[in-house]
Amino acid sequence: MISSVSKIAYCASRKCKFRKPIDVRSLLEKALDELGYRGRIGLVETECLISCFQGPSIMFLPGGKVFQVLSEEHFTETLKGFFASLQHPTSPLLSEPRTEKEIPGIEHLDFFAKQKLIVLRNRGHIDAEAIEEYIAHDGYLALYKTLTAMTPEDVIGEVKLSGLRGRGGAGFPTGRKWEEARKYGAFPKYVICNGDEGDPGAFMDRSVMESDPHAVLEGMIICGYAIGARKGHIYVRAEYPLALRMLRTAIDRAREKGFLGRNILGTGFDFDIDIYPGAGAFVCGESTALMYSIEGKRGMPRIKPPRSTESGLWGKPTCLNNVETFANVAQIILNGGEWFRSIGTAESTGTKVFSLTGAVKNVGLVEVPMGTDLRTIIFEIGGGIRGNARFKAVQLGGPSGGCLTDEHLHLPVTFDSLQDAGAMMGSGGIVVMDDTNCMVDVARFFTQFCVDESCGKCVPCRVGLRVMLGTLEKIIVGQGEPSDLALLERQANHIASTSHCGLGQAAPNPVLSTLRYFHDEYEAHIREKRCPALVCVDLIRFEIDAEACKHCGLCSKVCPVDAITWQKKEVAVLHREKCIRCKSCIRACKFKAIH
Amino acid sequence: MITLKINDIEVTVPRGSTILEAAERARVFIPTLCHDKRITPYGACRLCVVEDRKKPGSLIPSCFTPARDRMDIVTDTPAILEAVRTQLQLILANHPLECPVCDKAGECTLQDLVIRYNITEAPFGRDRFARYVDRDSPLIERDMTRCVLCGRCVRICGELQGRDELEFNHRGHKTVVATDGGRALDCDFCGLCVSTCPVGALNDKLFKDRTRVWKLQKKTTVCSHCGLGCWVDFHLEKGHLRRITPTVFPDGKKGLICVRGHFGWRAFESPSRLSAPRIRRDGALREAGWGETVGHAAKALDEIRRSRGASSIALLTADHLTTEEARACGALFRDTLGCTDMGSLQAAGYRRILSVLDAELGPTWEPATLKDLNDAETLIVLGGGGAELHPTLKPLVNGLMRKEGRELVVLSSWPDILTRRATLALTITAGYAEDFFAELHGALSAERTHASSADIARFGVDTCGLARLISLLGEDRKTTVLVAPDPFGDNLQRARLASLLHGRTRSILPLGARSTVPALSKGPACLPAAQPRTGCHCSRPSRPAASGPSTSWARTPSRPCRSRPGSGRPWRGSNSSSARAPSKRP
Repeated sequence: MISSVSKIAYCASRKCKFRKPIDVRSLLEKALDELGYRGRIGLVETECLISCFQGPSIMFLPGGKVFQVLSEEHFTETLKGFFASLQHPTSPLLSEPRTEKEIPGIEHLDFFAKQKLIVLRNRGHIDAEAIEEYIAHDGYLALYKTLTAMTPEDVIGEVKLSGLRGRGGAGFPTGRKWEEARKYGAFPKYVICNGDEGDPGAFMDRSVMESDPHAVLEGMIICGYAIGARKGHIYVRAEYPLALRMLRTAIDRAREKGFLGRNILGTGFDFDIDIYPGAGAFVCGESTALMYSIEGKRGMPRIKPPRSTESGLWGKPTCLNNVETFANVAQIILNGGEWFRSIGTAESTGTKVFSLTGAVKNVGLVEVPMGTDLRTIIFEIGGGIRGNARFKAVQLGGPSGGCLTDEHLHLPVTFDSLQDAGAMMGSGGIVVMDDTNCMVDVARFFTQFCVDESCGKCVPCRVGLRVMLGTLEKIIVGQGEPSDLALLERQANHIASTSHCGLGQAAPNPVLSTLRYFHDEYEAHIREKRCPALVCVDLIRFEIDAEACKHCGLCSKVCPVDAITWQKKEVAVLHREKCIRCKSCIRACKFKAIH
Repeated sequence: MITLKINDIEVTVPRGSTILEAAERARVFIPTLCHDKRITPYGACRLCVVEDRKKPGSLIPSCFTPARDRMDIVTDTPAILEAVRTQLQLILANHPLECPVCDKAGECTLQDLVIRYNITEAPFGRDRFARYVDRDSPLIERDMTRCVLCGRCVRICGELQGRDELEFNHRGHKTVVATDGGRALDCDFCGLCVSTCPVGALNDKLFKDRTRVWKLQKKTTVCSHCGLGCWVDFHLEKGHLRRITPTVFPDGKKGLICVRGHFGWRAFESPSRLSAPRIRRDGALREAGWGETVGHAAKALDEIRRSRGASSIALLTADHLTTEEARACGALFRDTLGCTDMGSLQAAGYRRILSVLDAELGPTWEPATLKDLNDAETLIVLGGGGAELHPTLKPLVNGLMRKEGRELVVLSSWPDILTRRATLALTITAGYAEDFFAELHGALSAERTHASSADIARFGVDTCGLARLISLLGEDRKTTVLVAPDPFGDNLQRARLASLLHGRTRSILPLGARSTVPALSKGPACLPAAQPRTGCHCSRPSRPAASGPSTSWARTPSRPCRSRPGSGRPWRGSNSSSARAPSKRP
């Protein structure tokens, strides 16, 4: 019986830890000790089991049955129960959020059933630190095929056929980039992997680097073979220490096994990989700024021409691709470009990983074929809006993306399909918003981010964004004037059309798209001096609704400055002059009596 | 060559030119702020945006975008004008309005653009930052509140001077140009940063608060601090020198300058300078008028010549005569008076090298010019101290080395400025430089491909480096050799080595100290051609003084002749090409 369970994977990522501070590993060890199974069942620490919405989980392998860790007391019992009767596992099994049905396995959950995993195929199933497990899951088989049975031109041909486009956001055809880099004869050439995932809220690349680092390495080695490079660099932002650790371990293991270094697999091909941690600059995710950062210089985008494929790192031909792009390469080589092309749409082939966050029930990483529409992603996979609130908007693509409304939910998500609507897929961040989000505040948030992260080289981004931020802040504190809307539009268009690099060119997108679709919210802020979503504190008129008030006194208790007085069985009274607008009362009131 | 249209004007430019360069050729104005022709384009100010009719709706920065054949560029669409005006408004939003107290007023690019585009409103408000002001550095004052972050000073100090003293610190709107750690300047003080700053952020302290630029008259002349003779502009207010700047050439390119030329002019105001002629009478020097002094000198010299012969007259000139002045001097003393002993105070090493080269190469050899320096694929420097003698060699060589495939070989016994920039630096044990050059000469003349390592080793020279040098000499590369003099040594061997290399390269340039030292430049066409000469120095014209017995100062040209405009910086030696020593009278 227990022989059919060989491993228990437990999710140890930060998100789960914060939700419920339970040390799953020691619980497991204790339970297994008690049951006497310690030593016979391996424990695998994985990063995202991706069922973030349910809290810390454990997964039994093989089989993939996922359990929630509800509390420590019941844990050992549950485990015992499970082992006692594998045929009929008892709760707390993972349950389908909508129907509350128990389900036998992770793959039956809607959240996972609708996903098609190529990039994320190994997550949770393998120990990221054990290269043997990666190999057992067809790891490095593509490399073997490449080095022994294909010429560099064959490899480039296959990647071109697959239609793979850069997953970092720009969507440049990867095969063409490799072909360009191969063309130039200068030596040495470099392969760079861009792991500086700077978009706030995006964690697609992080999960790949943490849970399947070898996929990235394999993709890079194949790229090196294709373009004629011998050296690869992975640039990982310093805010991802675990990814750095996983990658370092993976590189060490790969070197031991002969997948990196000299004479790989005995074929005479040399390739090695270094890791460069970043230093906290979003602008260093821009490819030329990234290369300057590796060279030890200031991370500022440079003028183009020449393109990096002709003269990039250290002035040599360089091929820079995103983590997710590289993670697709091995599968393309193994299954063929045609296979990849058969997934997704004609212009955007394959799958895309999205980080679905915000007001949805199922928060996490979602990998779906390109062309899947927003409604499927948000409502079927995401489970709809949490708390049964109303869908208001969806923000795509991070600080370079735009906001869309429910009119656009039918649109398929591809590189090109959202541009007419004023948004872009970007690197894959999806933030779902409900009535508690103020769109003006959302625009301000992303503009503030870009102001902080601007490199300062060109005037429109450095000065223009700050000026635009000033206008937004003016509106948010209630000093907006009707002419400000036209001013915002003018500022945004100027910045977008004259900035030097993608940061500045795309930074006005949140402002432009919210102006387009949520004009009435801006109007409310300016003309009525009111924030409909109750977010902008200066525009909220704090008032206690006498009819709704149930005299519980909770608001009075939580108010930090005693601005609410209350007497039993009477409506609470708000003293506005003391109120510091911290909104604690709004949060505390169960009856929504304050607005 | 490609042809494109700018505002419907057809213009043909070499392939690889930028749209901005094509627009200049077509005489169409495009505003720029962060652009300086001496350094690479940067693309920060975004004022130079244009539109391509074939790709409407997209604004292209013209300063770095390459021009392509059959492009159809327009520079004055409403979208472009709107972009430029908004851009200027954004720059002004961060800029203090201190024109009345700012020295740059009157020659400020920002001022000129604001007037040109008629910016009279500040729709974005004013968002000034209080950045630091550095008043502690010598010679250069840095007021960073006025800085528009164009990056020109950073680039010129890094790319051209090679000093990397200034760099951007922090990021985004907090960016500020500073030294590392915010200390005072500790650099070469060449002032190239001051010459490039388009606004009043970097200022010449010697000029600050003295006067306004519109009260100045500009006189273009040649710097006399060293033999390189960079073009400079003297700015005078009612005849008094107020500042010196590198010349702006007709093609708009600014020149190079060093600390001596830029900031060393205060010496001209020294009270101990002679400002009027004097005659010694009754044991003391007394001021006299020009006519009187010249007459007195002429009479005296004539007398001496008659009574004791021309050979009893010797001429000693100062170092900073211009070529024309020295030539006139030579005309007087050599041709009219028949004097054969002429020289200047310094640069014995230079004269020595020159005399050896003359002896070995014969009278018809011509020294290299600046063009040979610029075109060289391999630059060999024999001896150390070349850039210390001629400070502008530093940015010159720096600019050269940025091009692909250039080699700079320095053979010296001490680590000088050029050694740091060299791709191949051979360090010779101190005191053995001449011996090494002699050995190298022997090796090269005997067997052209190999030098015995045993002999070479005792000079402390790295044998791999030496092998590389030999192989470089054997390759088919344009080579120019600079010969730097050792002020305390004999300089014979390096001169001999140079003359040997002349056979391969035909491009030797002796480096000298100051202007009057006879320089060997081709110079403008009006200067005389080569003449036979004996051992030494000074200037002499090849053609007889056409204007008769011209001993008059007033007859000499008061302005240096210009070389062809647009040919870049002319190589102006001190005295003219007539630095051949005088021989017989014609």
